Amino acid sequence: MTIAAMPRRTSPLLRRLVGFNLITAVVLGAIGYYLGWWLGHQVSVAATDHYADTNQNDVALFLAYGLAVVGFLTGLGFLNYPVSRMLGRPASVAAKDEADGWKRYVSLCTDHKVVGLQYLIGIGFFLLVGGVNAMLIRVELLRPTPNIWPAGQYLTLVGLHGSMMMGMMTSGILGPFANYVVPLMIGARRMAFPRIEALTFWLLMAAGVILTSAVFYGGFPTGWTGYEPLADQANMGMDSYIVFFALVGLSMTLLGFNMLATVFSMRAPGMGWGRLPIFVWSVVATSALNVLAAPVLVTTLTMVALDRTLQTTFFLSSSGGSPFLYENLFWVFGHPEVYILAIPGFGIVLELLPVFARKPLWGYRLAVSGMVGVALLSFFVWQHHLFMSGLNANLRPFYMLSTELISLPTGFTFLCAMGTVWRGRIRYDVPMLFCLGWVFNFFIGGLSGVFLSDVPSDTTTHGSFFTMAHFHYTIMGGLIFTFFAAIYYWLPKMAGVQLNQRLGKVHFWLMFVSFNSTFAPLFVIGALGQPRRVVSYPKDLQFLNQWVSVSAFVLGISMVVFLANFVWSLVFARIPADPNPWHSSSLEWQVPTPVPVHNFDRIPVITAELYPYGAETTAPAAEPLTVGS
Amino acid sequence: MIEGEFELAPTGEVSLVVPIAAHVSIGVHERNLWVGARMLAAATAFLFLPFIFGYLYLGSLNTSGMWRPHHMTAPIGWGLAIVASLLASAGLLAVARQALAHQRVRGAWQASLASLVLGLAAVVLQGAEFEELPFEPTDGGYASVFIGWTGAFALLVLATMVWLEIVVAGIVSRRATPALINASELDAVGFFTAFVAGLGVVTFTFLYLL
Repeated sequence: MTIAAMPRRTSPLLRRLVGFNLITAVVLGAIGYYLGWWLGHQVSVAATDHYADTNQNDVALFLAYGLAVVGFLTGLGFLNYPVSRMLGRPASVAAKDEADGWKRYVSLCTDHKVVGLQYLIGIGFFLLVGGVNAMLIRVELLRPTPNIWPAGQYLTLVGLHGSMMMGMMTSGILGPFANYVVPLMIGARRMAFPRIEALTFWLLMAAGVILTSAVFYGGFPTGWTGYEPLADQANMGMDSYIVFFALVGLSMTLLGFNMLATVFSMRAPGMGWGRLPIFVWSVVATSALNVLAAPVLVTTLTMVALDRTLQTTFFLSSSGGSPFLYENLFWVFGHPEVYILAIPGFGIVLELLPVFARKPLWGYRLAVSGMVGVALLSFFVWQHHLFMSGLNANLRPFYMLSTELISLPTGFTFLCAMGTVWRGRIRYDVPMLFCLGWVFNFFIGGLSGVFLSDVPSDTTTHGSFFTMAHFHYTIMGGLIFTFFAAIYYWLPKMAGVQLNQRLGKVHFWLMFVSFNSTFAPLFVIGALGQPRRVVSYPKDLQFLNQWVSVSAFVLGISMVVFLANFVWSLVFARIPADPNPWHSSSLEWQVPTPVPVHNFDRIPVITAELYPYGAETTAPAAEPLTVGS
Repeated sequence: MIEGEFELAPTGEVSLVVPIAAHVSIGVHERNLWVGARMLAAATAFLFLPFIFGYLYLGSLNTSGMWRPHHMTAPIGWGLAIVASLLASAGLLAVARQALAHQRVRGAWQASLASLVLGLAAVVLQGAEFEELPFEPTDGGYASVFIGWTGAFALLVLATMVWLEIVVAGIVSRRATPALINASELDAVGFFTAFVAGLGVVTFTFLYLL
C-alpha cells in the first residue's frame, strides 16, 4: 500500500471548528480562567484574612491562571495522548505530523520543523512587544523628571520589558533554530519526545500572554528579578510575573530535556561526539543548563507563590525566613541563564564562520571545551550578583575569581572564531555581517563584565546604567545579533525563500550602528551615577540620555526594516531560494526544500569530518543508508 | 490511517513495521526512555535543591529565633509510613521488572499494580499528615520548608504514579504493545520510582531526623 493510495479523511465542519485547535484552546482557557477565579473566592485558606484586609485575592488569580493554562492545553489536545495511554491503548503517533496546510501552525503539531517555525513567529512577536516596551522607556527618559509615566507605571514598564526579554528569549535560539535544524544536522527523523517539544512552545505562548496581563492587575514593581521582600508586598500583578516565569522555567526544562535526549540517542551512524556540528554542541551545553538550572527557578517561584497565598514565610525575615534566600536561589538560576542566552550565540557564530570564510572551523575541540567549560563554571559564580548585599566578605574572593575565570573558556570561543576567519576567503553576506557584529559587541560586553566581577569596581557600578549597558552588550549584542544571523542563514531552508539581501544589509548596518550608539553612552551615564529602574535623573545627564533615546529609536527603525523585509520576502516576493545558497556542507542543506515530513528517506551515514571548506570540493560528509541496514 | 512505524522502501512502498511511533525503531525508543528517565531524575534533583538550600540557609540564619520555635518537628510516625510505602513501591517495581524480563507477564503486572497502590498510599498518607501537623505555615522557617517540600514531593509521587499507571495499563491491556516496549517503559519508570524513593529518604532525613 502506498501513501498515495491511502484514503484521505475530511472531518465534518463542526468537528473542524470544535476539534482540538487554537480556537478551542482559547475558549477552554477562558473558561478555565473564570472557573479558577470563582474557585479562588470560594476556597478558605490562610490567605483569606489577607484578602479581607487588602481586597487582593492572590489565591483566586493563581487558580485562574493555573486552570486557564490547563484549559488551553486541553483545548490544543495535549491530554488526549496521556489519557489514551492511561486507558491502555498502545503507544502510537497519530496523524499530527502528517497534516498539511496552515492549520498545523496553530495546533498541536509533532513535526519539529513546524514547531521551529511556530517558535520563530511566536518568539518574534513577543520580542516585538518587549522592544516596544523599550521604546516607551526611552521616551520617558527623554526628560529628567517624570514625563509620561508615573514612577510606578515606569517600573512596571521596565519589569515587563526585562521579563519578556529574559523569559521569552531564553528559548530564542533553541526554540526556532535548534528545534528545526538539530534533527537534520544529526541525521534524525524527528525529536526524541515530539509531544514534549510541542508542549514547550505552547507553554511559552501561554506564559507570554499571562505576563502581558499583569497590566490589568496593577503591574509589578520588582523589575525582571522579582526580588524579595518587595515581591511579597506587591499587588496582584506580581502573580502574573510569578506564573509567567514558572511556566518559562518549565518550558525551558522540557526543551533542554528533549534536545539532550535527541542528541544522545538519535544521532545517525557515524555521527560520533567528535563529529557533532559545533552548533549542536552549543545546544547540548545550553540544554544541560536548561535541565539543571530552570527547575531551581520553578521551585523558587513556587516558594514566592506559597508566601503570597498560604502565608508561609520563606522570605520574611520577621518570621524565620530571609529575602536573601530568594536572591541566592534566583541567581543560582539567573547566572546560568545568562549563558543559556549566550552559548547558542557562540554556536551559531562558530557554525556560520567556516561557511562564510570557506575554511574549516579552527580549534573544534577547543571550541567545544570552551562552551562546556562556560556551562560548568556558570554554576559557581552566582554570588557576584550579591557583592553589594552584605555578603560575607570572606566569600567575595572566591566568587570574584570564579567569575573572572569564566572569561577563559569564553576566550576560547573568540580564539576559535578569529582562527577560523584568519586568512579566510570571507564572503560578507548578511549572516556573516551579523556574526562579525557579534564579535565586536560581545568583546565589549565581556570586557565590561570584568569590572562587574571585580569587587572594588562593582562597588561603584552595581545597580547603575553601567551594568545595564554591560548585559545589553552581551545579551542583545550576543544573542539578538546571532538570532538575526540565524534567521538570514536558515530561513531559505525553513521557508524556502530568501530574504532580500540588500535590505538585510541596510538592516544590519542600521542596527549595528544604532545599537552601539544606544548602549555605549550608557557606560558613561552609569559611571556618572545614574541608577537603573529610576524614572528621574540629574539634569546634567539629559543630553546623554536624549542621545541614547534617539539612538534607540533608530534601533527600533532597524527592526521595522527587518520586518518589512520579512513580510515582503515571505508574503509578496516569495523568490524561491537556492537549495544550498551558502554552499554549506552541513547535513541540513543536503535534504530537499521543503524538507520531507520525516526528513530523510534514508538515514545518512557520516563518513568524514565536518567543515571540509577550502578543499577542492565541499561535498557533504555523509552517505545515504537504507533504513534498517 | 496507519498507526505505527512505517518506512519507505526504495520502491516507494510503505510497509508497517512496529506499532510504536512513526519512523522510530524500538531500539531508539528504548534509548530515548533510558536517557529521558535519567535526565528527568537530574532535573527533579535540581527541582528540590532550593528546599535543601532553604533548609540549610534558614536553619543556619535562625533569624529572630524563628527557624524552629519551641523545637517544633513533624510527627515521625507519618514520615516513616510515607517513606516505607515509597521504598516498598520501588522494591515491588524492581520485582516487576525482573518478572517481565523472564516473560512472566502476570507476575509483572501484579507486582507493578501493588507498587502503584503503595505509591498512591504514600500520597494519601502525606495528605493525612497535613491534617495532623502540630504547626501552621506561618510558624517559622522550618514550617515553611516542611510544607513546601513535602507538598511538592507529594505532587512528584502522584505524577510518578500516573506514569506507572500508564505502563501498568499497557501491560494489562489486550491491545498491549510488544513485550520489549513494555520492558523498556517499565525499566524507565522503575528507575525513576527508585530515584523518587531515594529522594523520599533524603526528605525524611532532613525534615524528621535532623
